Amino acid sequence: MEGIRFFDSNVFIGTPMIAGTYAPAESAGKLLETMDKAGIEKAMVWHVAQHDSSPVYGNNLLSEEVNGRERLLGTWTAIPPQTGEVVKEGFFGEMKRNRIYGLRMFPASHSYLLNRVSCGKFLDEVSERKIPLFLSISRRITWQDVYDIMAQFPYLTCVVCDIGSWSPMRNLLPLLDRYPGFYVETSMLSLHEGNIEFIVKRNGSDRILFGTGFPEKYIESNTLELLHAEIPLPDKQNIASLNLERIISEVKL
Amino acid sequence: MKDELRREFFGKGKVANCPIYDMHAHMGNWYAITFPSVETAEMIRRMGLSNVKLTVFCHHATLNAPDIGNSVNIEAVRKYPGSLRAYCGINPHYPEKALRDIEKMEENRDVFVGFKLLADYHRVPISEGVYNDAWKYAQEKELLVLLHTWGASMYDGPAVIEKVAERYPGVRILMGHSCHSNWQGAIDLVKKFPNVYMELCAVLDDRGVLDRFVGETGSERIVFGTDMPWFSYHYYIGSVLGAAISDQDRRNIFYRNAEKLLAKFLPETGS
Repeated sequence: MEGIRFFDSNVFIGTPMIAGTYAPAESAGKLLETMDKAGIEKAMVWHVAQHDSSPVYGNNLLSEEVNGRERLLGTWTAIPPQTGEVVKEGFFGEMKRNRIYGLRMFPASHSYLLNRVSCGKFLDEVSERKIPLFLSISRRITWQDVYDIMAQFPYLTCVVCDIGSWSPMRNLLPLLDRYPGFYVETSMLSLHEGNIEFIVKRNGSDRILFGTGFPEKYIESNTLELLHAEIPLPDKQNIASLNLERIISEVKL
Repeated sequence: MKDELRREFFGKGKVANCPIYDMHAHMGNWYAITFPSVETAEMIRRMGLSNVKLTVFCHHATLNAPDIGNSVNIEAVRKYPGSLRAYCGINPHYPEKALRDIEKMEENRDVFVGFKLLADYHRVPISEGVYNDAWKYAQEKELLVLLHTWGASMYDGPAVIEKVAERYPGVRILMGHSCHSNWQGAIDLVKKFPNVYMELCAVLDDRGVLDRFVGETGSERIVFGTDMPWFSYHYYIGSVLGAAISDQDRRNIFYRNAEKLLAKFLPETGS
């Protein structure tokens, strides 16, 4: 892996409500052990309880786990601010204090509509602060949702992740063409034969973020695919870590 | 040597003494997905990047366009006989065409290693209709049959696979996707029937499944497949490297098991 540092944008810790076929990384310590074995330098991590249980519990569990672990940054889960459960006065300051540099939203699982009516002021501020919002196709975000959100918040820094096992290039490419703040994460992009090369050739490498989807996916699937992708080394470096480093450096908390 | 394959695949992208046999592939365009590697020549080139020695495929058009049928399979294999073999695709909605293709199997012995049944898409159970003519021929000639299999399917789920495995013990049945999501169903079938194999396409993006398969059945009845041009060789190779199994298991999966299955079709195989 000479010359390439991996910064994983899409990994979770914690024990899921329903056991999967995979062994979970129950704690940040366990995750770091796995990252060491697989050659992953840093990770942007979330806690599965943020989705399965409640962001109220999950966000706190995540903050406790990443506290004091310099190689890990957090992503919290948000819901519409009106209920005052998660997004309240001082929210962004709390993000900074807990080293949270991204957000996730799961509208279908958490029973709300993600749009300007429910989240207008909040997502305008998220856009202004350049906080990346991760939207997971495998956790019930639809492409229609993604199109609607980008149309309503065109300056949002948005990362579509876990893009599914059927290659969605016909949905993905128009978004990459239209919105400069739109990114795609690799945990399932790299599953699809030739897709990384296709996007790099067409759109460049600046808006692809390395992610493994661990623990649901094997880390080695994504590292091997990127290492041997038929693209120049600087593009591999962009995807592996530099793009995410740049996004984080631009976050204003 | 422990982790030898891991070091070499990560270093070079391929391993000279570890060829790969892709036992579940396609070719060409398909209605719902844009594939960057649809051209046969590009597919062959990409095989070389991972030392994929042989791909056994059935063209998408065979399965979805009855007006094209198996001619594209024959043409591709005869153009690249050192890299390709095919499954004769059977569309149960057009039994006369299917019967004609079965009749021509003998004259296409250099092309086909058996049949491909895509029952979930064609919506006819694998145990019914003209499929039985293909099964009987495969039984008589001891051919392979690659099935698309999915956990809860009434067309190609475990219950109906059990019927054909019992009825046609001379056929080597490759369960494409290993009864996806009903992993225990696939394991039980392999334990019960010596002619049933698990195939890993669409399995390897779920971490832990391969580890469980090898733990419960061993690695001698598992074969590698990618659905090419759907899925990436290196992504799937990385999954096999990431699973908690031995390099001997990996070699069984990458090529040894396939070489045994294909021996009668490729007498020169050996690595």
